Amino acid sequence: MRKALIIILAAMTFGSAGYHTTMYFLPNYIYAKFKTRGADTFGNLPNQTRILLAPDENSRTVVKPNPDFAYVSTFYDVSEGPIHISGSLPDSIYWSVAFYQPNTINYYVKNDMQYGSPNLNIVLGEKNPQVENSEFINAQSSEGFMLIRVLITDKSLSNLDRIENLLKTITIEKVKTE
Amino acid sequence: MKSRFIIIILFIAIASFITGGYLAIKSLRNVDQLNFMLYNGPWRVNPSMDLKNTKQRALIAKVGLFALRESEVIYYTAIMDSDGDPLDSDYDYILEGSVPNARYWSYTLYGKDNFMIPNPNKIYGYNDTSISYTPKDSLNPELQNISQPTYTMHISKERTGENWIPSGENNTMALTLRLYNASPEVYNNLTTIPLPSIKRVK
Repeated sequence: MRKALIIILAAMTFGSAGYHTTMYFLPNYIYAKFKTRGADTFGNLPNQTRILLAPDENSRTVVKPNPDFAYVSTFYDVSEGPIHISGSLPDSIYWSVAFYQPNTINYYVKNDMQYGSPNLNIVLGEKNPQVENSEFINAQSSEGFMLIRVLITDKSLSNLDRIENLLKTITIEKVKTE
Repeated sequence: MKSRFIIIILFIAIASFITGGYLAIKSLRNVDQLNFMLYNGPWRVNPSMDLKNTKQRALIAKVGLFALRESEVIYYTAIMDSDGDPLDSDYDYILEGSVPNARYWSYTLYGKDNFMIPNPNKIYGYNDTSISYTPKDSLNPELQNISQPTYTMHISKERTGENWIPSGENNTMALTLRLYNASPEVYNNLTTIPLPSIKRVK
């Protein structure tokens, strides 16, 4: 009787542990898988941007992409110090900048109206290096993902070229700290 | 005897742990049974992305990796038509709706794998600038009193009128409506704002 009780208790305890552990770490697993898949297709060197214009049926790295957007993404890494993200964004109806932890939590998002300027000037890090005229974002994790979404209403080749050229101005550099 | 019992317990612990993990993943497959979802006709919406809720976080990572917070975007998704039947590419659908109160909105159709459905026309959806609006006099009587512009969308294999989204072959489908920077009225009435019905027509 005592043994049966121990067996039932063990089954319930470990079953519950398996359930909650899976639920807790599934986002990290999906993110890690995405990062590996991303590395296969475009390399995953940290702090390097990648541009994806108007995804289509062949864009199969992240589920449910929005075909109306251009995306600028990077796997950021601020473990060796803060990074400075700068560049120009198009005069779009909508754009936004978002940062995610490896557990997929979106800890920061700001759109064009909230910025009030097409010029991006962000410092991301775990400590504020006090860079003048920049917005400091406290990184919630030393590694993670940045995603800039830009709405494209005109998908003509000339406009896509124009937007791509503008998005190429977005660069990421390590902030020199003393 | 004692060591045999310990082995049995170890086996049960491992089996239970794996079963628990399997049940966690299985529970995410049936989104309609998740108690944090709200419904507006055939459309379901997650009213608050509470990412401290591990189940919600897991679900979002699985079906909408890198989704934005609800303060920025509201995601409505329909996987059923208005009669409660799964959206299926073997049938044609018609949607009639009015412009939602948001800074920018878009519809995108996805296949069962959550990616866009391949089609030679590369049409995956419509947004507030690409959709064609319906002249008032040709509107369904139910929509004639609505002051906002209205539209009709078609989901089918073959081209059917304006605002056509190709449904491809052998697909169960999901239609996503994104509302960027929606008005407070939308946030306060997620289950009652006018959203299009999805009618199977063939």
